Amino acid sequence: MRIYQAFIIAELKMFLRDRAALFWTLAFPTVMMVVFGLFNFGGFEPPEIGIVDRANNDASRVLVSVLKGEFDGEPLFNVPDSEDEDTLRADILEGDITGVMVIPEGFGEPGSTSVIDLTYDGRSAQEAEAARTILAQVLDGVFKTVADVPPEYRVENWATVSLTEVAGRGQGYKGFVVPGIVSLSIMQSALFGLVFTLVRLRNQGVLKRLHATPINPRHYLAGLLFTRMLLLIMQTYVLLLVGIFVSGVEVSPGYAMFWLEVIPLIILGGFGFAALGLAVSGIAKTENTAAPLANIITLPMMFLSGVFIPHSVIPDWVVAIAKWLPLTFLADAMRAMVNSGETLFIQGASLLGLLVWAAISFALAVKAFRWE
Amino acid sequence: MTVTNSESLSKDIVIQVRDLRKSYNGLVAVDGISFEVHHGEIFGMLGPNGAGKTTTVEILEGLRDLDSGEAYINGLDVTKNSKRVKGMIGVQLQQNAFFDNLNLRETLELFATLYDSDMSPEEALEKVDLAERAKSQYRHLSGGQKQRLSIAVALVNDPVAMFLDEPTTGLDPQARRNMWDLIDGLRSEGMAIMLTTHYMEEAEVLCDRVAVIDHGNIVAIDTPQALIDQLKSRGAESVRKDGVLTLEDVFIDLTGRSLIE
Repeated sequence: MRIYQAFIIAELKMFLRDRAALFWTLAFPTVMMVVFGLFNFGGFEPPEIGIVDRANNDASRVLVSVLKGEFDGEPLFNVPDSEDEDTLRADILEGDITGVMVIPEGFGEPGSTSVIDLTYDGRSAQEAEAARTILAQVLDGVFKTVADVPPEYRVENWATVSLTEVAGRGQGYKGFVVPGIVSLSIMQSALFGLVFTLVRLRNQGVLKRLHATPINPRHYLAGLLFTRMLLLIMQTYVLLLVGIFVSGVEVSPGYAMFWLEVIPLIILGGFGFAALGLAVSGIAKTENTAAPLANIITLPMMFLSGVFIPHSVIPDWVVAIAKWLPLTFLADAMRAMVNSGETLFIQGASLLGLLVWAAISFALAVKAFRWE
Repeated sequence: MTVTNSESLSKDIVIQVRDLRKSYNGLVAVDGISFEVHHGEIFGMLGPNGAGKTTTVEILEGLRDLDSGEAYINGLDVTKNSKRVKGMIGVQLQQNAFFDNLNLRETLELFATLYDSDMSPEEALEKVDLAERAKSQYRHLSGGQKQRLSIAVALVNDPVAMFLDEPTTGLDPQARRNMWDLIDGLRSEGMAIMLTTHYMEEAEVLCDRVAVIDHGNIVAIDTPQALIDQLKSRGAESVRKDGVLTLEDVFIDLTGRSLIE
């Protein structure tokens, strides 16, 4: 026990003194969050807009068809199935959709000017603005020029858009990306942290010197993993606070226990990635081979595990594989807890996935570990 | 070399090696080596790089398996009791290193715990004359200071035997002389010290006995003076201008090659 303690104390001291590592662990994800929050790369997906068609005439049906992409196959809006106005308005308040557009009676009748109301969630102002632009373009330009639209509907100045803001709970793309980046950072910090620490110490000969003492690998590795887990918890808290105060997302609305429940999730996910890092460090001989190997493992997950790019916009066959990746399990559970205030205890599938990955990684790590 | 009964029974033998063999992927590194090292003795293994010195030492340190032969420290078989043996020896590896961001005090505290020893960091640093650098981080030490720290760490468990693998390689002449004084001083602590070197001067200055090793074999084993005297009686000539015979000449005579190529 004294040995575990001694290593933990030593590791903590070393980590706090390694300012560069501390800085990069926090700075890089913070910059990512700020960039993704500000520039809102949410344009992967069409905005989710419900449509209530009160006119229900030929003109309105053409407009809905264009928006749904039924003419040329590319949907401009992601339109939910429901057409019930009350249901759709409730969905905005819940943050499930971005807005609702109401096509008024008499829409498209010759000589009249209709006003289409677009009610949107103030939290998703950027998405709503994108939706307004699309709608205005469709009304103003596309109807006049697109060959697919029957000529009799190519008229001018017959509809405008008015915007109504309501306060909903939607977090938009930044609500999607913040828990994604938090999860990604757990993977990067755990995996790369272990790989580079161990490869460097092995090349320097420190590990061999430890091997010359009467200890077992577990004595040393337990301290290393323990401090890494502490760091991951601290790092996750800091990044979530950056999410709250810089990106302006709400973390686990109305459920303060989140801040405790997230700890087992961090440890389970982090342990698996740290063990994977251990395995990589055992397989790679030098830093020059360790870095590409670690990147080969992490890069695909960065793009396939739903960190920046939602699974809804990548091909189904890719999702079929990607949903089994460890980062997918971690990001899914993290997002469910951060965005919707779900408890840890209903993330069973993700937790099981992470547990299996941790077991596989740990077995690999035990096999691959080398003192020299 | 044959080990006689009287020798193997001798109470003051600390390190004992019999017919040790080790090859890596068919390449013979150690080809049947036997020797012993006594209490209070500095025993040198003198030979060029790749002669099998480090392999021999690392087998004794419990870092490598042997193919055949026997190796004992204080009567304990190193292959069967590697943890216990590790706990009672002091080790300075050829590429010895410690944690960059720990200071010397913390490094010694850590290693004292690993060896289950209660020696204070101050006491250990005092022994190698590094007390005033207790608060410096390892990465800020000079090459000579790093080597002295590794001796301090090796002393932390009051070892019965000390292994120094090329303790002065890469040091400047001043730092080398400091190390020699330090190692010479350890002799008085009564432990058996085994050092490897490819500097003949180091072997002459420090060692009570020297094994000349080449291609995994011990080609001669005796006191430095005896080796030189034997050479003189064979009528060999020195490579030096002043005609003084040294271990360098012994090595050339025994192997037909120079020590440092």
